[in-house]
Amino acid sequence: MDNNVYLKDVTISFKTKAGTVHAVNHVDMTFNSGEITGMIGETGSGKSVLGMSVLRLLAANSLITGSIIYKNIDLLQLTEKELNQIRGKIISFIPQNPDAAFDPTMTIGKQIIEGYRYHDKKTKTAGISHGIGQLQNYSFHEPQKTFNSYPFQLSGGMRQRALCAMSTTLSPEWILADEPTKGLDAIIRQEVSQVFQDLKKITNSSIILITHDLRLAQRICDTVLVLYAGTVLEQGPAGKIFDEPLHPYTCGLIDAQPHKKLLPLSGMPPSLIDLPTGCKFHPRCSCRKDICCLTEPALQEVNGRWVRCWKYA
Amino acid sequence: MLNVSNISKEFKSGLFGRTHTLAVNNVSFSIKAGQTLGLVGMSGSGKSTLGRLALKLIPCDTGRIIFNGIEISHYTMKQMKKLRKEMQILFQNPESSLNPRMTIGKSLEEPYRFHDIGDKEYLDEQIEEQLQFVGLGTELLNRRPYQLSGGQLQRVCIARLLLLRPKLLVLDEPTSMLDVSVQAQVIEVLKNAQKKQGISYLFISHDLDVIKACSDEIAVMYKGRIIEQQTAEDLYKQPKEEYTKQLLDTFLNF
Amino acid sequence: MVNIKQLSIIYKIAAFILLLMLSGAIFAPVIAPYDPNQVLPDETLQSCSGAHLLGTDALGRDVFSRILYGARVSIRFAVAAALCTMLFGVTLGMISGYFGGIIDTIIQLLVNIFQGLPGMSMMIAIAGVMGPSTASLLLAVTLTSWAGFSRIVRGEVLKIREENYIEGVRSLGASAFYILVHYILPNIFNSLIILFTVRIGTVVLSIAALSFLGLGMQPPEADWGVMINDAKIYFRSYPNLLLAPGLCILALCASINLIGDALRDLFSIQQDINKQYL
Repeated sequence: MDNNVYLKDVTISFKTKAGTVHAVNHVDMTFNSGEITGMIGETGSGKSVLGMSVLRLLAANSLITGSIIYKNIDLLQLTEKELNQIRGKIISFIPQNPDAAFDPTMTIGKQIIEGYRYHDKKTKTAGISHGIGQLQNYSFHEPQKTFNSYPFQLSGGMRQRALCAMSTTLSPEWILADEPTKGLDAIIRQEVSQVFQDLKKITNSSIILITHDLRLAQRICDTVLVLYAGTVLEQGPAGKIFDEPLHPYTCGLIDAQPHKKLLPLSGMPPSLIDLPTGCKFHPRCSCRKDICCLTEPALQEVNGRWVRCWKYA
Repeated sequence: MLNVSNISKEFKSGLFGRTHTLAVNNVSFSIKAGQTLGLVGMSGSGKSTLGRLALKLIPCDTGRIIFNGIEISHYTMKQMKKLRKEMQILFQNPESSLNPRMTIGKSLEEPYRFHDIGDKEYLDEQIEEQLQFVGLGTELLNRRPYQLSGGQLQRVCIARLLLLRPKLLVLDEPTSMLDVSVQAQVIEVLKNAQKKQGISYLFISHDLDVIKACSDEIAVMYKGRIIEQQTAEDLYKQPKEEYTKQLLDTFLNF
Repeated sequence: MVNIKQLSIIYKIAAFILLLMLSGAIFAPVIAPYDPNQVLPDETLQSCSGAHLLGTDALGRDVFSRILYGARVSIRFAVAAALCTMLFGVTLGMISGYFGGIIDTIIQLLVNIFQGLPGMSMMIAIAGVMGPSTASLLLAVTLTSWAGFSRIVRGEVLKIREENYIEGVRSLGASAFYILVHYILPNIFNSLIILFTVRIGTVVLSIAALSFLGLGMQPPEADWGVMINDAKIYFRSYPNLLLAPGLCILALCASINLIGDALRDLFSIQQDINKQYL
């Protein structure tokens, strides 16, 4: 038995006043263990929703169909109680904003060992030594001092480090990170990317990275998944995708980066309530053909990766 | 266009204001008409404070600000009101830049409430023209901010500022909260606006790629001081200061 | 989507009770079988019957009719008092929060003084000095409760004042008055509605207490507090006289507070949903 996470025909929708929001549409894929898998896409592409669905951390009005299989268990069928055994221990979540993720009135150390003591019912002294060891792993020079300091006393990069330490106290097999570099400046971003590389080394775990920071994805991911309007458009090894993207959308994203051509993608992402027919990207696509507006292409293998586009059919 | 010399700003915080933070320390710079000065620095370097000081949104402790040949350092808020039309600011987070309780249309009409620009007909015409310029349609006018995406909101904000025909815009990290594809759209709109209306920009950002793509000259800010200022090309080719070198290394090797 | 349908059943019961009381108050002249102040000397202290649903009091007045008219008095006064409090508290709170500085210091000093004084004793003192009248009651209630109100408003204003859109419109050249009316007020409106609702409940209680002490509404006015006061001598033998107005006060205050909670849930959830998906 492997440790991969298999997504089978996962569809997620939300009922809202304005209509049903189709956030994720029939996603079939595998997150390989031992890798960093990057999920990239614009705001509203469904990348966060898809990531959160693995831990079932979604709002009450969501509707998930399909299955998410991990070690022959369908995570979508588990009860809340069974899920709590998995959350943190087997799959752990690193939230987006380290400033908001810490309780400002508690010391870093106390928050780091909280999960450890909750899950494993350990004594306080065992917890403290574990917590300090954990901080040491994440190369804090004075773990003892950091352990007793409050969140506001740490810099942005250190806080992200501490957050990773907190999320991995139970040595989870899978780590889910949501936009770890959003709104951070260059130096902190550099630190964060280092943290994630260390994270993989230290914990030997597999990482799902939700991000729209293409540079970060290019730098640290093994596999990349391009999402658009809740559909996978392209999927494959990171190097290949960034060096020679196949799907017009991926090309557009890469060209839009300021250090590339800074070329805007025309148009806007579609409304998830009223999705376009055929290929979801066709209204913005420059190489649109008639068939694109009518039928959605299937995901097919081209040069060792998967693309959903009629150009390669 | 804008000439700032030796301005400083100190913030007091903590119990009885005991903690003094020198956010901006004896800074001078100038922006030429129709050009962009990029201001780059990491979080906490004081670049946002400097942007607000230049617009007199917060008063500075010492120093002189000369805008369009007029010294405005000693102007009161009332005297500033006439000049407000000409100097404006665009914020980092478009989601909190518009009143959530107002429709987009109402927000766009606001510049006309405070300044004598023209009658209702002219106003509607202008709003339509500016919306078109930033790439949006008039169907947005009846919506509220939460119904729009970040990129759309940022463009609405730009249109609102352009309605005043400003001469100077401070852009405070205008794209750091946006997706890459949207970032490119917003930057394109800003560049077009500069070409068309000849606006000067003070472009504040921590993203060296964006700054490089947008600026004529670049100033590097570190701990409240501008440590060097050069044309964009020279700065990337041969930075003078050690800190700038480090910054460029970190960023460009990323 | 969380909407009214998904609210807990207890909130719906509260809303039903409130609606019942409101319609009772509004349509009192139609529903009430007797004039609330009509004295029937032959029918004193009767227990519940077909003719008198809740019996009659020591003067032979129909309790059910008095309860209906009492709802009128209580609710009308409570709304008026809550409005006065709000007007006073919101104005001072907004000014204090928005302008800050010396104005803020002075207003906060007043707030601290008023919050430090024991509310009930103050109210009794004011009502006692000015003599029992609606105006003096209104003044007593407003003076003792505006401080807490303005403090909450000030907190909200301080939070909103830091938002970009305030700074943005200020840099467009907007006046303080414009910002207060068009920006601050609409954005604290939700909190105000909740505060207002809860305040009504509190006022109903205070008035009942004052009336019970003889400083509030004056007999023969059909007021719940007055009714309790009248009934206290007979309550061993005729508990219905005391229980009827007492339970009404309880039901009204409880349901108003619950509705305040429900409103808070509705508003906060709606805001989150807007952010998340649209």
